[in-house]
Amino acid sequence: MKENMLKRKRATNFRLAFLLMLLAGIFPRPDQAAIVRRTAVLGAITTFDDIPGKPQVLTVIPAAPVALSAGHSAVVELKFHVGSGYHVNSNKPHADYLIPTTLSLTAPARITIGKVTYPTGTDITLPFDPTDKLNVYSGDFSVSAGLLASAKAAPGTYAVKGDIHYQACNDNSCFPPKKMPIQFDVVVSAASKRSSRR
Amino acid sequence: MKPTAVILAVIVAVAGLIYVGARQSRHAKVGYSEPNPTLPELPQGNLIGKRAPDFSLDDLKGAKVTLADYKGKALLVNFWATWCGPCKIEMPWFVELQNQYGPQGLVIVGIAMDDSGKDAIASFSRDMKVNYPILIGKEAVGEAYGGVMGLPTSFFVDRSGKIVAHVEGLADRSKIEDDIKLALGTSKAAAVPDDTKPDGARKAAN
Repeated sequence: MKENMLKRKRATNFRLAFLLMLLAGIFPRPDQAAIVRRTAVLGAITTFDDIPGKPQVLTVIPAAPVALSAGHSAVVELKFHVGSGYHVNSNKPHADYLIPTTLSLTAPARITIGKVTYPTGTDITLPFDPTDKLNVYSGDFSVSAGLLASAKAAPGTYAVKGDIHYQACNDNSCFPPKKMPIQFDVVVSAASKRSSRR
Repeated sequence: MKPTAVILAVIVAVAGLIYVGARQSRHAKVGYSEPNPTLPELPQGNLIGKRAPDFSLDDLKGAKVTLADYKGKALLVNFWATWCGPCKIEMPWFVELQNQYGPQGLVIVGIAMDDSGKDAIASFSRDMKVNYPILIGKEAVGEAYGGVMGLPTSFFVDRSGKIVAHVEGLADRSKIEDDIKLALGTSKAAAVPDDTKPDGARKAAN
């Protein structure tokens, strides 16, 4: 009995000590330099996307939930923004050595990803090589993807996840290819006769 | 153990923890971070005037190449990748500059920083008619050279192993040539201060 009480007391004391450790800041928060250093270890070349406080090369605009009736399809438009002064290769860059922008999505059961449609890029030439045409996205661009909810899909919210793979450059430097995560919800409602089947 | 002894032990431990916490908080205010033994330190600030960080990398035939192998040579250490358009512009210049300045002691060393594989890098280099050594880059080498921000990035190293110039991004060919002359010691430009005393930047990055 006495032993049990002592054990309980010890446990309480340890909990108290743990709480005080937290309050005292014993677990340091990563500072900016540490984040940059860690990024550099994960990838040989750091990009502005990796460095807190630096401008983002590519921003993923969060997509609104997609409403869909069971047994029907819809198209989701995913929007992106390329920071000023930068461009990313389009999905069909003119040269083989360039890395295209690609979208990859994974859906839960009962939801199927359909055709992914990329915008036509803009042809540009850069001052360092006026003879070489590049096909790029800059500013705002969007990629659309078809979605199909199975007729057996139960009403509810389904999370679709994926990433956009891109490689960015500015007028005189290029940055390593990078993946940015994407996630949006598909809200499935019970089949309705009014919904148009595509 | 008596309950009072337990309480005393806890008080001592808590006091110690508060002291450590306060110390860390004070360091955080001045931008200090405890060195993490698992992460190598990036060299801080400009590398010009410092000794070029050593490296040990595979060439396209799989042979190990180190910076020390080029002792007494002037070097242009160029970080590049097969997907990098501006890098592709520089490569024919480097071929010509290697031919022009090689006899004076220049060696251009290309460090490929992409993961497309040795064969793809070799094929790309052949297509570009590269006449200088191409090495397969490693993360640690990029870090040792300051955490290369973008490509191309070049460091110009004089015969004593000191970095005398650093170019990020595509520069004019004339600027590259001027920096080569600086590395060879044939430039009339002002001497680069010597800051090659031992420091973090001298650590080998293997």
